[in-house]
Amino acid sequence: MAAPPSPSTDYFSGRSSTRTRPGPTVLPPQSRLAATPGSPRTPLLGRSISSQFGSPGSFRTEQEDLIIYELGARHLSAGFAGEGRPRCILRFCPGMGRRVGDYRGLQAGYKSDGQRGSKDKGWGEEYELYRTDVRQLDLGLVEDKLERAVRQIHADYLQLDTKPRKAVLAVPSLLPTPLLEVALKVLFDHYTQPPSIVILTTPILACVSAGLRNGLVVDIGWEETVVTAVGEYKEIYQRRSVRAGKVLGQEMASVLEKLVGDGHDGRDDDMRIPFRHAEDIVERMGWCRPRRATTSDADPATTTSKKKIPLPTSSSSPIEIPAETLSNPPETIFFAPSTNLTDHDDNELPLQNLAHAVLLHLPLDLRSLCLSRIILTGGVSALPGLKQRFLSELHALIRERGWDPVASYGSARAAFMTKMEKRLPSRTKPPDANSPPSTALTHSPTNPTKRSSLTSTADHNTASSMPAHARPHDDLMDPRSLQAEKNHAIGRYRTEAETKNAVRGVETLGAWAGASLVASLRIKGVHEVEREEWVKYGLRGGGGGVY
Amino acid sequence: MAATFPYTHYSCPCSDLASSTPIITPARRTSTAPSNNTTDEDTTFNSHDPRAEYALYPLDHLLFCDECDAIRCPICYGEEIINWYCPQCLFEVPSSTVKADGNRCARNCCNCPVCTALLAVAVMPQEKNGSERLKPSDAAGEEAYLLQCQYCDWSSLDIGVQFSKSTKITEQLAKQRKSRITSRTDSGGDVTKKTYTQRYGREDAFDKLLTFYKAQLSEAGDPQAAYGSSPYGSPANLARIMSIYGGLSVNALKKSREKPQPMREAGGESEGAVTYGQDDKLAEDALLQQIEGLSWEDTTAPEQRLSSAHNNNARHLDDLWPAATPLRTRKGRRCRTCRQFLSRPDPKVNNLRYKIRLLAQNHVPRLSIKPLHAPSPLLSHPSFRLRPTDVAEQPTLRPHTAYQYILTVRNPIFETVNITLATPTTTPGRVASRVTILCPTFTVGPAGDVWDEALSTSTTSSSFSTTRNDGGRQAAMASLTGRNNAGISVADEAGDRQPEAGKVWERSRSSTSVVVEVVAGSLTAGSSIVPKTEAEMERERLEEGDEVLEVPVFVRAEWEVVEEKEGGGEVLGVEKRAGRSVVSGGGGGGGEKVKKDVGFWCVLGLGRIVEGGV
Repeated sequence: MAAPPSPSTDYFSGRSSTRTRPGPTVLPPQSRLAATPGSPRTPLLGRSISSQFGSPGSFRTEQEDLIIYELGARHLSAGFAGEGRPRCILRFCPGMGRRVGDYRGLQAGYKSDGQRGSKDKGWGEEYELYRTDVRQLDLGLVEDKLERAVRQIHADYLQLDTKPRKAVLAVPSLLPTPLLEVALKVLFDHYTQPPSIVILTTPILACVSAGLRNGLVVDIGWEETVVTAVGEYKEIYQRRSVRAGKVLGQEMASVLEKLVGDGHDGRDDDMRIPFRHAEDIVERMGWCRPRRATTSDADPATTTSKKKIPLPTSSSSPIEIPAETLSNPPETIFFAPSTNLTDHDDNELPLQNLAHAVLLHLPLDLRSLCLSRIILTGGVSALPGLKQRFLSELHALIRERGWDPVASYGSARAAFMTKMEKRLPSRTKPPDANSPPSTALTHSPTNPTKRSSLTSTADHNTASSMPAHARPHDDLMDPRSLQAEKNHAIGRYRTEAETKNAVRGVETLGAWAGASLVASLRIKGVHEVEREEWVKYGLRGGGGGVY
Repeated sequence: MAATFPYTHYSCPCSDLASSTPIITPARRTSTAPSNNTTDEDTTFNSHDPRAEYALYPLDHLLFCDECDAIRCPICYGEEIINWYCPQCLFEVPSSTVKADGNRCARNCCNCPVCTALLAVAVMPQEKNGSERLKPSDAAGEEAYLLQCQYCDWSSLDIGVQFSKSTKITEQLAKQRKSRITSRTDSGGDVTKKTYTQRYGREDAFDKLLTFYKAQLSEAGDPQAAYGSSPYGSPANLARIMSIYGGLSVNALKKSREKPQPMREAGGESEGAVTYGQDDKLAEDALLQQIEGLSWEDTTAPEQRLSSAHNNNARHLDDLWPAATPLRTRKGRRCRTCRQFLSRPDPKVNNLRYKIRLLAQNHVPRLSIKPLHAPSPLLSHPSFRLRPTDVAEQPTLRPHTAYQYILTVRNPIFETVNITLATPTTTPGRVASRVTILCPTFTVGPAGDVWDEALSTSTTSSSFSTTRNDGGRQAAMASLTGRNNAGISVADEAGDRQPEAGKVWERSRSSTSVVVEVVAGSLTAGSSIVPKTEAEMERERLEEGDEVLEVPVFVRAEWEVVEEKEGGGEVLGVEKRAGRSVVSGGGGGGGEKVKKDVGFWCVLGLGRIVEGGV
């Protein structure tokens, strides 16, 4: 899983070899003898070229347009390849699930929220297309919802003629297979009849639309936050945490309910803030305050203003809420400063710990690359201040813990320290964030760390037919390592020099734009499902292409 | 669950709520009505299933394919766009430019980004003194225009946009936006740069990234992008020319041999990569300042953000950009099984007529239901409820009370139809009500002209052996105003008749009525001695829609059609079709009687059950 990245097997360079082009015609031997390669000769044909190759631009102009779908738990966005933004983003909401001809939602004074108790259903359950826990999920309902959404997108936004068009589907990585099956089924069954669908995963696309080959993608989504280390356009390692948009909204609602409840003494049911409103507040007014220094001289720049927010519960007048309070939910949900690290479950690590854990699992050279290429994406990442806050939290954590996989030595700490002091004097002081990776990379190939990693890469790729012990251990002459050296020397990663020592974030345009980039450059996807194969075998059949 | 009771919703047989869906239904042609019926008959359609919301349609939303003899719903017909037009200025947009314009009006129509009302182009008000007003030439020279919302008073001046001419607003808007983005990158001014970066985000980043990737790919040995602008753009052409000229050039040979180089990453803003550090005091200050100035009214609602692609990232009202009106389309609809057109509007834009229109209501028996003892006969049909108070009046049902309804089946086709109704004895869902159809099997006479029906009641009633005889005039009025005969007859002589099991209640030329008895179920579960646990109480909590009494009815209609034989004695594709059986030839000159049938689930909405204070 944590194999070091190899430069030659990614999407981009795999492309030219997979492309089929008419090869050059082989000329008879005598004519080849007469002509030295490279010297142009007059063609023997009498016809003029202009008539023969009359329509020069035709190949490019009839470029088929691909439809790009991005599927998330809360939304479906669609558009055309080569455009920067999706044509539409459709959010799933209960109003979409009405019967045809049911116009209740348009009636004045109709309240969709609150009538259905959110007790029966989970928080925001009606607003999501699926949950990743598919055991309780009605897949038929998911299919119905998705089918209607796709139909609406085509009728209202894409408005295409009937020519079949290929499609690209961007899904979160590790999307449950039944859901992927449903999505493919809906797209293939739709009357536009795509001849093939390319499946791409969002972390890699986020990387592409940030302009990077490597990076640490922190996708703060709806149900989970997924931290993925991407190396050379491949997902290397991934961990998840439930601290994401869903609990954020819930926390915001409970904070506000408490605040309102203090003023009034009514009971909880009429004080309940419905999902939609809570989410609205998070999106409009939520923010994330900067990290407080541990010296705690209570950041003087902090804001004391109060915000007026209309609540559906306090019927007429909007209530005043301190802006500070509005930054509490992101604080407690994402960074959990007050709780002990040992109290967290494995699936609810705070974001900075999660990212740190992922970085720890990476090989050294990739870790250093990822550290200066942190990509925050996902719906919640637009929260003002969140990106900076995350970076500084991560920075502080690294400063504190270094790259020691052991979080706490407990009582053995003293013994360990003396032992380490004997062995490695430099380790005793708090390690600089990037010292191990940076030394590993900047030193020339004499450094054993680097050599071994490169060797393993090369061996895995080229000489996999031989058993490991029998391979020639000639890493200096290995073409791939030579090439990597060359690239390194001429500064292919030229931003590296200035950013190696810093935790740095890179803005991304998001997964949809990434898919649009990939598709418009006509890069062949690794997972392409052909329609015929799908019809014959379904998802699991040999030719389906997914597995 | 629509607003007005009573109603009838139809479910298309293509939706299979009960059975698990196979991934690909093989060859729908062979399995239209009959095979689906058998699966449907085994299980009851549950109208309270959340999936039912996606399967039920009012009859007027359904089409009917007369080749396949099946109902066609939006899932099982495909759409084909005939023409595109702007709903505001009603101009037709040629199909070649639709996509480039982003499926939006390329002329003057813009929607308000705040309230989505249509924006009007107005002349900019100018400060003038009296002497200047007398000189019209001056004013005309520097006239400026702005967009103004008539509803919420938003104007394009709020975002600092004005126009030099009053036409081609969309084009001018796009130009202004572009110039803002480029001015952000060009001008070194720190303040403007910052605000523009905030406001327009990274709109140009995508283009920069795209050019960067293209350059990288061409560097990595892809000849196609390198020759992009030359006439030999296509690789196939290029290869042929190369071969004519005697083999590959040295350069190309080298390139083809060499392994592709890994491309590098984007660096710097010019290539589309934007980075940010972790400890940025400036950013923190900016953030706090931003929060300080934030107020609820200035932020955008999700609907505003999703209104157009420009506004997806807009957080403030000031960031919203007017969006050109999305185009609408006129679509033809094809059966997905046999590819024939089910509905096709006239391609001429101004003509609102349809060339082909196979509506389900012309082929499928229409079911309507009304109370036997109507509270007020005036409100019999929802279409005639004009005042809001009429609409608001919803029939409420009390638990454990028996109600009687008249279910009328109206036949739209010109053949006599045998109808079989089936319903579960208790309705599915959380609240179980008991349902009995007193006469589940009957025939409905062929349709005819409305006046024809009215005038010839006596003859038809004799031929169909109806028990009653209506005045022709009365019946005509009734069918014209949407009430049917049964309603009037009951109003006339209510109390005279008692509904009898196995007897048709009412029969006219093209419609037959039967009586349905319903005992409304109780909202609360039966009281038990054992106190309920919290979880049980939780499970019994009703959701929205649970208290609505809906009766699922399976309707099967069978009729015989005489198919004319062609000259060669070849029957028009009859034998080929599934779901029919050829009956031995009847009397009429060489025609053959073919049995046809349609079966579908139907849901009758009767009213809400309200726990009374009895």
